[in-house]
Amino acid sequence: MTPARAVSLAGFAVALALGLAAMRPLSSRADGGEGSAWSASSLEIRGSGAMGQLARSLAEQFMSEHPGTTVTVQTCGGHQALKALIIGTADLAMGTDEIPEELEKLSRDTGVKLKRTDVYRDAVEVVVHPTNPVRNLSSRQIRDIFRGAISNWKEVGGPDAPIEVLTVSSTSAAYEVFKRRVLGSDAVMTPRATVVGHRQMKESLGPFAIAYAGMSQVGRQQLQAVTVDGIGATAQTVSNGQYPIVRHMSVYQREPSTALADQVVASFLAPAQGQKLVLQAGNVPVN
Amino acid sequence: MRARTAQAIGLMLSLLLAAAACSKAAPPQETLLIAGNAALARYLAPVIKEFQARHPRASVVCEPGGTTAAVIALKRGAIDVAALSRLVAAEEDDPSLRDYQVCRDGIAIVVNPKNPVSELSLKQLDDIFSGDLTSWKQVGGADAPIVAYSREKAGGSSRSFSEMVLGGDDPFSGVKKVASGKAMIAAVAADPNGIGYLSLRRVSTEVKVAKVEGVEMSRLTMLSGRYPLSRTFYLGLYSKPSPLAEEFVRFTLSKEGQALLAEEGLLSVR
Repeated sequence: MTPARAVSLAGFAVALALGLAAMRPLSSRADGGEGSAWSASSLEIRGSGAMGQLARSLAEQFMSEHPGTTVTVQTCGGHQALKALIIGTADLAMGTDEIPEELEKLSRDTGVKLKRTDVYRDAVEVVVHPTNPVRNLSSRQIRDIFRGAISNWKEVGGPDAPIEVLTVSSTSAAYEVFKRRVLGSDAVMTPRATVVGHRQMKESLGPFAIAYAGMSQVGRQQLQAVTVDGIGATAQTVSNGQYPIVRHMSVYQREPSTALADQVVASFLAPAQGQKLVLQAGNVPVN
Repeated sequence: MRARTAQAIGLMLSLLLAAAACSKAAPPQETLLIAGNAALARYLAPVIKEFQARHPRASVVCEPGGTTAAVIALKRGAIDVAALSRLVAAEEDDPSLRDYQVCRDGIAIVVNPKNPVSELSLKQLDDIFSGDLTSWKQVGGADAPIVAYSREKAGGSSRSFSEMVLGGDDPFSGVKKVASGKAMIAAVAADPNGIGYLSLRRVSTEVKVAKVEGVEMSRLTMLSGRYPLSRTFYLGLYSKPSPLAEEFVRFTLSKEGQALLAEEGLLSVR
């Protein structure tokens, strides 16, 4: 190698080294890479609309009691909220007590551990028009009506009239509870069912209609519920497991958790705070 | 020292200097393309300016175009960061999509301080600004005509108001137009029968802020989402974004970024 060639090689190496040194170091993800809460004083809650009112009141209460904290609430489907929690764009997720299969897999694949805390019991009642003489149905009859196998009220001791089946959006918590506890894995909602909004339930219930609604809605809209297997939904029957169509509504956080997340979750469970709000909303507290 | 060694050293030194000079003279340009909601694109201006100052080699372009189009463009890889005025919808969502909440804003409904009416429902607001409710008596007030004021320009609070209250429609032709937030305050303060709207940052004590759906407008009720005329903004990233895109989102969420947004009258979320 001639000196001239050695020098040009050295020059090239130096230029390369300087160039590399001047490059920006690779930054990690926008949120710190592990989806950890960015700020010790702020927390973002996303979740099921069913828990929206509870979360909003709780957030305001928490912020007044802990000046300097920022607790934001955004409602979206429970599924979407859990996904946001797993990938790190939310700090708490609210939803039902079962994690969908594909999100279990996502949390495994991303190495994110989740912790669930049950907040209240969500009972779903079966409702009919106030003039309907049918006052009780068995779980089996309910299942058969909603899957279309029973189509006339006379088959269940009512008048000779076709049953009009109403249902709610498949993204709602009431639908999820109803599907799991009543239809089970071997039955599907009849395609003849009409979808109505939660708030339009009362006006949608014609004389021969049947629907289902969360316990708090039934109370709020004064809907006529039937007993299921002879059991009516009360705080007692929902708490002790006698009433069959029940699920827990829960709050999820990542593990290891932050102090703020633990404090907010504790607030959901506190009898004087979250649990009191649960009662006010017409639901059954866990505490 | 031999002449040839001296020559070699001299050559190496000048090559070193040349290499150093080259890396400063022709820096690699990296473009960051942000697009989406027009209001958020405007709000981000001071954040972008500061970000540019800290990253002189980056070129940041920020364009409107709408939230929905931005989500599509983001997933196609056509843009780096999406500016969103809402959470992505369930059908738009995807495990590779990350939507980070960055700030909130809100619209205040304002009436004259002497007006006994202090709360209105969303439906009443829609009806008033659509010309369907014309007397204060219809909403529990005095027997006097409602005089509705609206912002002239099709931007800023008038667009937010239209989206949040009128379902995207314009107010009816009988509204009185004002040119600015200040003019809105002056008009409503001077008109006992006036009603108008202001973005959060323009609210002053010269006018009375009405409750909407029974909820008063405050930082807490906007952060919780209970106040109905509040909006949440997000920045979206997709799949494997560039380090610059990650850094931009991180900066917007940092103490400095949040302070810049708060200075514009928005609510910081961190």
